[in-house]
Amino acid sequence: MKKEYVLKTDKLTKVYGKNKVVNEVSMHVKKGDIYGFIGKNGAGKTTFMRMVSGLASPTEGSMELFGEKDLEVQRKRIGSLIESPGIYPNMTASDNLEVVRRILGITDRHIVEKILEFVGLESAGKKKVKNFSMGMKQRLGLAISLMRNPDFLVLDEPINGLDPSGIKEVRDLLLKLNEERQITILISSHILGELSKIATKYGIIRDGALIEEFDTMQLAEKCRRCQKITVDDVEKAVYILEEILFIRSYDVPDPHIIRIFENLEKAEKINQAIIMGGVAMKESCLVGQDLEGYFMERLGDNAHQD
Amino acid sequence: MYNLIHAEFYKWKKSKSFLVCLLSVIGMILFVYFMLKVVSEVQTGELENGTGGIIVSGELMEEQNGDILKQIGILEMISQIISSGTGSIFSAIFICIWIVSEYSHGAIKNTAGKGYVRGKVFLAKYLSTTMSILLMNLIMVIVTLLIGFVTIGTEDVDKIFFQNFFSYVALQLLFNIAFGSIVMVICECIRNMAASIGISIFLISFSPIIISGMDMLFQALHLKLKVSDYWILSVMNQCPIEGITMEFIIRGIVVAIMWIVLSLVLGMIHFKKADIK
Repeated sequence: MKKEYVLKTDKLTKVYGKNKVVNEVSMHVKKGDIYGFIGKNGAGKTTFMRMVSGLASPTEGSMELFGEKDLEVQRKRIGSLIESPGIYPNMTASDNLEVVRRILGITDRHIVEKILEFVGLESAGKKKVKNFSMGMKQRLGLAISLMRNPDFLVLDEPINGLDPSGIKEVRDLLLKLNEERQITILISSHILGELSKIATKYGIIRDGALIEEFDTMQLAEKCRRCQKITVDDVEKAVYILEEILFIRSYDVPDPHIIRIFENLEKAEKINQAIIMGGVAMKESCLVGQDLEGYFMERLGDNAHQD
Repeated sequence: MYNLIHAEFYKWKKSKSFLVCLLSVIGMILFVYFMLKVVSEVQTGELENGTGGIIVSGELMEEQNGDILKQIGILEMISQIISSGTGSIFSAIFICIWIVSEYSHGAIKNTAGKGYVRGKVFLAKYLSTTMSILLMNLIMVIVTLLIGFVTIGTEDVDKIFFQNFFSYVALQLLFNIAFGSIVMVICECIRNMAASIGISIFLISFSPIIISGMDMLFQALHLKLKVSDYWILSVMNQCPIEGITMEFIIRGIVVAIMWIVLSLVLGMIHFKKADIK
């Protein structure tokens, strides 16, 4: 059971001066997950991922990788791409990967060509990185993260700067890695539409705190189409729904709001019954959020959306 | 650890910064020799005064049997290159580029976050930088020596010359490694290219003067403390080219090791604790 989680954090916190950038984040990433990490700019995603990758040390809290606490040893099983790729601009792509090959002690000299081909840079191996486009640099960064054939990939906005075909290629690549090599992936992105195509689990971070974690089924449930009514007396309205209208599929997310998931074609009759039962109704509407709508609601105002 | 050093060596081979700094200082050496050679030939009458825009002053012209190159000598030339600041500046510039570029390019993320203990990562960088400084200074010495043989001649080159040469050069290499360690710590803590280079050049240019000032102050206050005996750049300047006493050798080695150890410890502590962005 312990080894079921690739990453498990317990109230992980990072403070810079008086600023709590990451606030008691307890995250659970299971083996085989593609965990979509969502938050506004400055929410704390990158700082959290730095801590997971060993580039920053937590102020408080603890972390387990692959069910173990000896993080330095377990980090050998992680590949990461945090913010911009770490590359030497005056070297070629091959040289950059060769440096990483030596750092990691990989004896197979052909791995450089293989990885370049894997990320679609086989024709750019001899080109100096300073002449690369942003998308090519991102691919090189991905290549570096894959050098060690990791069990866990930590990717901070890996599709930044990619054109639509590049985004699709990276998406397909990540899905392939997850399916064929069972690589667990923690990925952050602002492009919610893209994330929703690959993620199996989500975590929303806001002002440094992880406000919600859910999987795709739970997300679909939250975004389900319903009739949303705002009333002054929820108890009475619920009584009417159950005893008079025989409606059982509903929930009460707020002291004055009821969401009804059945009989949506009979919304007018429901409204009539509630009003005639002596309950004041402020609002009644049919709602059904898409994924982005739900995230925007949870993230609050001024959330960035691409 | 071997993997880290292996990677450092590969980066060093591919990097142009070592070569550029080395060629720059060799260019300086050649230029200095050229200038002095012209002065020497003007003094001996082989060239007319003012040739190439170089005007030799009356005092130098009036010296009997004057030949400035022979007066200076090869060892003094070596001293001017590796202990007076010229060589140190280029070494410092190389160290700043070598270390700070790891942070500015973000490449440090490829080592620090890869399961290696931070101490080993720092040590590997330290060792590669130290070997580079050693090599650079050795090449400077050899170039200065060889050009000296050609321009000054080998009349004064005897057993005693080589005894002095090896003692002096060995000490200066150690002192340069110690100063290089200090520059490394500065780079590691600041992680900014311009600031690192600026501070290093400031230290090279002004710290011996400031330290001398402190010595004078302490003397005026009747304190027995002589700070210049413990500051590595001052010790570098104090080192005589001939007749080096055992007292100086011991003090020099102790001071150098002290600065190397202090720099290593401070650098390692900082690197272990500081976040990598």
